[in-house]
Amino acid sequence: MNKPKISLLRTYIVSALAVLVIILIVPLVIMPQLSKIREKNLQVKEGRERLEALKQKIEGLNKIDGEDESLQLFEVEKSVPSDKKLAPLIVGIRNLAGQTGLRIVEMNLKPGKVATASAVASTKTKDKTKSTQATATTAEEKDRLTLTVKLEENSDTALDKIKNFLTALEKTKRLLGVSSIGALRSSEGKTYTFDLAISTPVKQITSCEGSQAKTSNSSSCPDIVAKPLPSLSGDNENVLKYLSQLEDYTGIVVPLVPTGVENPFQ
Amino acid sequence: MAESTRDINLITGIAEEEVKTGGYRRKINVVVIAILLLVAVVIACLFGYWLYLISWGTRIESQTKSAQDEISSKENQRKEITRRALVVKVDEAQKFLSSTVPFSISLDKLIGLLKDSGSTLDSSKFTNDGKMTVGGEAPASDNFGKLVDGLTNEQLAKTFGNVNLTSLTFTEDKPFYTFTIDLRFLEKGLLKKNGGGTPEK
Repeated sequence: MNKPKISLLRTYIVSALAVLVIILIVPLVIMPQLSKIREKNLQVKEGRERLEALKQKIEGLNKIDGEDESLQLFEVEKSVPSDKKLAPLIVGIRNLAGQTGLRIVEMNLKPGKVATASAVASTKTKDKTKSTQATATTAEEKDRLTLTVKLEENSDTALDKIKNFLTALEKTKRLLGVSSIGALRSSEGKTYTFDLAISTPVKQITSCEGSQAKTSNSSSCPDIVAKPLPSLSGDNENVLKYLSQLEDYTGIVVPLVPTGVENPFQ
Repeated sequence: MAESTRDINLITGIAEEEVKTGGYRRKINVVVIAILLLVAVVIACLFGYWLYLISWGTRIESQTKSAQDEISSKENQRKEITRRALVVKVDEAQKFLSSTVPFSISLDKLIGLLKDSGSTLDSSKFTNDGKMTVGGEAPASDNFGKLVDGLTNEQLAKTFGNVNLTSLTFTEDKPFYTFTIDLRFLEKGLLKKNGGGTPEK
C-alpha cells in the first residue's frame, strides 16, 4: 500500500515544489514590488502635477508686465501702506480739516491691539479660549489704525463743513473711513463739537504672501514656489481704477529729527 | 504455463501504470513550467515598469528643477513678489471700501431734511453698523411732522430705515419740541455697486 504512495509523491514532487515557489513568490516578491510601484507612481503623479503647476506659473509670469505692476503697487501702497507712519496721516487730516474750515481740538491715536509680530504670537497664546469672533476682531484691529478727532465749529456752518470734511475724507488716497460720529451742540447753541473715530487700513505683507524665496519643505509656507500666481480679478481692477482717482492728502514728507540727542530740533 | 500467463498479466499492468504516470508527469511539468514562465514574465514586467517609473521620475525631477530655477530668477521673483503684494493690498483696500459706511451721504440727507423742516440738530451718534440716533429741537409740531415725513419718505427708503421715535417732549419752559429718533442708515460701501471705479461725488 505504501509503495504506490511514495511513487505518487516522487512523481509530483517537482510540481508541488514549483507550486510552493509560486505561492511564496506572490507575498515575497510580487506584493512588495506592487507596493513599491504604487508609491513610485504616486510620487511621479505628484511630481507631474507640480511640474504642470510650475509650467503654468512660468507662463503666468511671462505674461506679467513687471514695470506696470510695480507702478500699480507703488500707488496702492499710498492707499494701504505697510507701516503705521503716523506723521503724514496726522498732518494730512489736519490739513483736510483746515481746508474745510474745521478746527481740531483733540486727536488721539489707537494703533491697534496687535501692532507687532511678537504681539501677534503673545495674543494668540493668551486668547486661545476666546471665541472665533473675538479672534477675527483682533485680526481686523491689527490691520487698522484708529484716530479719534474732536472738531469744533460755529453752529451756523458747522454741519455743512463736517459734511464737506467727510466727503473729502472718503476720497483720500490713503484710505480713511469713519467708524463713528458723535455730534453735540453746546448748551448756548453757538458751537458744534464732533467726535470722529477715523480708521485706516494698514497691511503688512508676510513672507508667505509676498515672497517665493522659500523652500518647499517650509511648514509655515507650504511649497510657495509651486503656489499658483494670484490673478487680478475684475473687482480688483475696479478697485485699482477707483484708487487711482482719489486725492492724496497724506503724501506729505515729514522731515525726521535725530533721536538720542539733547535738542533734536537743532 | 499458468504461472507464465500470470506473469505476463502482471507485467502488462505495471507497464500501463508507468506509461500513464509518465504521461501525467510530462503534462504536469509542462503546465508547471508554463506557470513558472508566466510568473517570471509578470515579475519581469513589474520590475520593468518600476524601472520605467524611476526614469520618468528622474526626468520629471530634472524638468522641475529647471522650472524652479526659471521661477527663482531675479526678474521672475520680483514679478511674483509684486503681484502677490499687489493682490493682497488691493483685497485689503476692497475689504475696507466695502465695509466703510459713507457717512457723508447720511449727513448730507439728514442736514437737508433738518433744514427743510426747520428743525435743529442738538446731538447725534452714527456708528458703522448703520445705527443712528438723532436728537434735536423743532419749533412746532408741524416742523417735527415734516422731519418725520422726510425720514420716512419713499424716496429715502433705500437710505434710511427702521425710523423709531424714542422720545418727544414739550415743556412750557422751552417753547419747542425736543425729540430723539433712532433710525438705520442702509447704505454701505464706498465703492459704487456697478463697479464703475469712480469715487462718489
